Amino acid sequence: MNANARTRLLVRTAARLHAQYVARSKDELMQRLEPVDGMLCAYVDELRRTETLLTRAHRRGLHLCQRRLRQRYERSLQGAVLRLDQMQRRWNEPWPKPPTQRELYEELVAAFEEFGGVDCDWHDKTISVHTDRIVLEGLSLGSFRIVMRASLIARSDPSGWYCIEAMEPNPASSNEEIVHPHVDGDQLCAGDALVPIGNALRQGRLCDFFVLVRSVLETYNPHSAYVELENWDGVSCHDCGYVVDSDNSYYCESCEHSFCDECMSICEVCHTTQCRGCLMRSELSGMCVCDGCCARCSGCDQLCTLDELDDELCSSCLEERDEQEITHDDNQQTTRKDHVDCGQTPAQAVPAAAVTTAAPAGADAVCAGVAQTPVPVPCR
Amino acid sequence: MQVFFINNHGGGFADTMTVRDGITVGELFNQQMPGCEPHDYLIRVNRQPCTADQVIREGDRISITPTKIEGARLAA
Repeated sequence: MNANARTRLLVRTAARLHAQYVARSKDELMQRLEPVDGMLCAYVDELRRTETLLTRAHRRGLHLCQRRLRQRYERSLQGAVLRLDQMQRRWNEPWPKPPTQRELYEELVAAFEEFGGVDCDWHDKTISVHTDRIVLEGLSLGSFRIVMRASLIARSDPSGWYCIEAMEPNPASSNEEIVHPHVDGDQLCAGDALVPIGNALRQGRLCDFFVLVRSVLETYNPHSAYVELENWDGVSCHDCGYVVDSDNSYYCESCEHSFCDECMSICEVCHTTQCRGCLMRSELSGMCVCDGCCARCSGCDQLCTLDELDDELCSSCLEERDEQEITHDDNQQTTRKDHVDCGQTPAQAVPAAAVTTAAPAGADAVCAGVAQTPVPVPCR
Repeated sequence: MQVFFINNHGGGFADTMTVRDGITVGELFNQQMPGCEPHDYLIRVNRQPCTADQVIREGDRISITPTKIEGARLAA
C-alpha cells in the first residue's frame, strides 16, 4: 500500500471512529439526565405529603403527631438535599469530549509507526495491530494481534472494546485457552493497566491504548497468572487439577488419565500404580486394591480382596455355610440312630398287628417302635 | 506555558498543565515521575520519539507510558 492509499484509509477510519465517539458522548448526556425523574421526585412528593399532614396536625393541636411529622419532613429534606448534591457532582464531572477526527487520524498514524502497520477492517469494524514475538522467561508465546472493536464504542464499558488474538499460539498444555499467562481465550486481564487502558480508549488515545496492551503482554506477573510459566508445559491432574511438570505426573492405566503424586496410589496386593479413584477398598480389611485383586462375596456382597474369599465366600459367610452343613448332617445322623435302636432298619419295620391284615394299597410300612399297634383304618 | 501531559502510569490522567519555559523532556519526566527510570517508559512528544534534552514548547503533547505493566488473572 503506498503512502497516499494509506493516508486515505486512515482518514476514512478516523472519520468512522469519530462518528462512534460522538454517538457515545450523546449517550453520556442521556445517562446523566436519567436519574432526575426517579429518586428526587420521590423525595419531593414525600415533602408535599408531609407538609399537608403537618399543617393539619398544627390546626388540630396534635402535638405528638406534629413532632413525628417534623422528623419525617426533616428526613425527606435531607434525602432530597443529598440526592441533589449527588446529581450536581455527577453533572460537574468532566464531560467526555469526543476526540476530533484529526486527533483520531494522528493516533492512527502514531500507531502505524509504532507497530509497523495498522489493519483497519470496517466490514468487521475492527482496528488492529500486531506485536512482535513475545518471549517471557525464555518461553516463546508467538506474536499477538490487539483488536479494537469500534462497533462497541457507542455502547459499552471500554474494557469490552478490545480482544487479543494469538497469531502463533503456544498455549499452556493444561488449558489450550490460555495462550498467555494473562490471556484467557481472547480476553486480557489487564491488571495494573486496567484504568489507563480504559482512559485511553474513552479519550480516543488509540496509540496509547495499543502500547499499554503491548506492555501487559510483554510483562509476566507470576503472582497472578492463569498458568505459571514454570507449569506451562505441565500436566493438569485429572483429579485435583493441580498442574505438575510432565516428569512428575503419573499415568493411570485403568482410567487412562494423568495425575499428580498426591492423587496416585498403589494396589496393596499386586503393587500396580493406579489413581485413588480407580482403587477400591476392601470392606473387611480396608486394604486398597485394584479391581483385579478384589471381588464381591457371593453371600453378603461385601467387597473383599481375593485372599479374603474362599470359594467365593468371605470368612463370615463361609462359617455360616459350614454351620448349616453341620446342622444338616446332625439331623440326618439323629434320624439314622433312631432306626438302629429299634433293631430294624426302616425298610424292615412292619407292625405285628398289620401282619394279619394286609396294608392298604399304597400305604408305607412304618416301624412304630414300642407304640401300640394301631388298627389299620382303610383309606377312604 | 501550557502543555498537554498524559501519564499512563497508574491512574493514567491526561490534562493540560503549566510548566516553565525552556523545560526539557528529561526535566519534566524527573519532575512528574520521581524515582522512576526513563528506560522503563515510552516517552513521546506530539506522538513522536524524543530525546531527554528536547525542549518542550507551548501546546506540546507529552505522553509517558510504562513498557512493563503487570497483568493478572480474573478471579473465578
